Amino acid sequence: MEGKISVYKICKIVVISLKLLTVGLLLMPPIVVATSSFNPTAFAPFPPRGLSLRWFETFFGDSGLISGIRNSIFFAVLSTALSLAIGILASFAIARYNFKGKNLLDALILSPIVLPEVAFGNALLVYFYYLKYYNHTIILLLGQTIIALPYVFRVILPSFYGISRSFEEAAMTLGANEIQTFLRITLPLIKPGLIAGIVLGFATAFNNFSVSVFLVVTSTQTLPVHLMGRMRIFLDPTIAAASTFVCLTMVSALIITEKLVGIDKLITGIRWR
Amino acid sequence: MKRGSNMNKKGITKIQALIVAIVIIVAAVAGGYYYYYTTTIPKPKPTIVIAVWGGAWQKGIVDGLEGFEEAYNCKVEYFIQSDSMETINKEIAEKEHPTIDVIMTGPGNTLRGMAGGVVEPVDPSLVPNLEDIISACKLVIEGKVYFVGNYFNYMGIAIRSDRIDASKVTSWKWLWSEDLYPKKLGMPTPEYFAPVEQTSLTWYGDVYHVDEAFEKLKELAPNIGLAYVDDALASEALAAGEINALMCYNVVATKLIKEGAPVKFIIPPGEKFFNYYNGPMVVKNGPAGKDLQMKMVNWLISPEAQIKNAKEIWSNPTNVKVTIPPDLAPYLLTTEQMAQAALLDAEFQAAHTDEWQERWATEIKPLLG
Repeated sequence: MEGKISVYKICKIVVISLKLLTVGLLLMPPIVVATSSFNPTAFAPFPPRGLSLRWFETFFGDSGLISGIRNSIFFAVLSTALSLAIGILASFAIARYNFKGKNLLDALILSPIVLPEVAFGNALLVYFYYLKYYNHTIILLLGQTIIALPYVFRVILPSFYGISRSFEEAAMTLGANEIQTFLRITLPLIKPGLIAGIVLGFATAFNNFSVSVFLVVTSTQTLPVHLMGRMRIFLDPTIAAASTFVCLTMVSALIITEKLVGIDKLITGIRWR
Repeated sequence: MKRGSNMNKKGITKIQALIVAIVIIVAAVAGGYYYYYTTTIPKPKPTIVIAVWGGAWQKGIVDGLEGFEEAYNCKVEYFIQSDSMETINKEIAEKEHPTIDVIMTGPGNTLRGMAGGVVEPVDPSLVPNLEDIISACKLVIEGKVYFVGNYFNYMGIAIRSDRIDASKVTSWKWLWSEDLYPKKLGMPTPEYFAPVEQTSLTWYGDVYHVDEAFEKLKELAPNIGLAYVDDALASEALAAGEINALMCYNVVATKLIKEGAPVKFIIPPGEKFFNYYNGPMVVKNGPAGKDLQMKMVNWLISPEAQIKNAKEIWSNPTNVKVTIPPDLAPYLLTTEQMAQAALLDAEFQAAHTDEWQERWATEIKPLLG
């Protein structure tokens, strides 16, 4: 009996250690980046030997970086909205109906995941120039939407499969038409999938470099493209300051959402306490 | 019975109202941006786009272009590039409708741009400062100047002065010594910058002994701890102490020295070193028009712009009318050192770079571990 307790304790220690190691590995990169952003010198030893805000000053004074963040958020929001609209409709069609080409449609929507993004970005640029279409805003928006769509679609589709049709049938039996049923019954039930799709789609579009590098022009240069241009020349902590700022903004938005609405309620409709 | 009459008509919840409001606002903002970007509202000033490397390189050009916007009533936009060949490749793809007017690059990449049909020759009638540029810093093909440099880069040895005795570094051949064994040396790859040319110069007096240079690089392999393709990696490795010495060009060391790192940049006295020049390449059919493009080139190669650029990146100007200020002189090449510089053979380099990259990958890289 005592031997069994010892084995249990050992397993518990091992599991806790693995958990701490995993959390540590996940948190260490952002912690190192955040502390580097306060380093007083350009070559950033860790731990930093002093504290300074000079790199935040450089960051806020760099119009290229600020416009990069603005462009990244703009294109990420729009491409997420577009891919969400397409993803919801495509998922609904595939989950609810049988039609010719259903599997082909499924594969087509997911195909950007397996395509090399660099080749795709170059092909997109050449294609639109072949069509003599030179609106770089639309081209970049389309490129990011196509990249984000598979992730949004893959997350929303299981949500549709997870809903029992009996809810929709009951609503229509009680007099709702198809649109009312979709808006007031189906959409709220797939909300967790929608939220996950928004988060994944936004992250994919915001972080995208391989496609964007081909499609940006000066006015649409996104943050990853701008940062790569800086990083290859000199790795000063301005990049760390930009990353820290973006992360803090996202975390602040999450905290505000939690305080005002409750993230659990936003996702599941229930306030967990 | 009316359809839908049995439905619960409580109305939408606060969260649903918030979501609808957000969607409407986003759609309105998006519509506004779309209208702004795609309507044919004429811009008040012509815009000229120049592709520059970031950091100090960008600041040097920005400082050099001070006053240009006012002088020609235009707006300058800066496109931050990482590798100028990537930018040139992008313009080759966009040949029918270029988006960049001037690209800061080197003569080797300009030759590749010429092969892609995107390079506009410099017009001497529109660029009067051209005649004041050192002839070695002009790429002349069949009587036309296709590229003009506005500053020199040059090879040297950057060392950690707290780990290496600078008095030992009297020759390029020191890189092959046991002082840097094992793996304490950083070398550029041919993809990036000139290890083959410098090795050939060091041991055989010119850049054309390529096969022999590769044999010497094989001998050097045990000392090589870093084979780098960009400045950031090289300077970070030296600053962090992963390596004690770096074969690099001057700008890599400049930033570290300015930031107070224990780094010295040494050009072994009396020995030839590889040099390279960078400058503005004009993109054919650029959106700003040839006239404004040539005006920008003329401005960038002027003595005033070159001095401002030199103050930022510590690279020698190429205009003979430049007078080096006394406070800047210690950081630039002296006249004697300029005499040691090996002239770049851009056509030889452009013709063989791909082959050297292949040979590096197959003959040298496997030895680095």
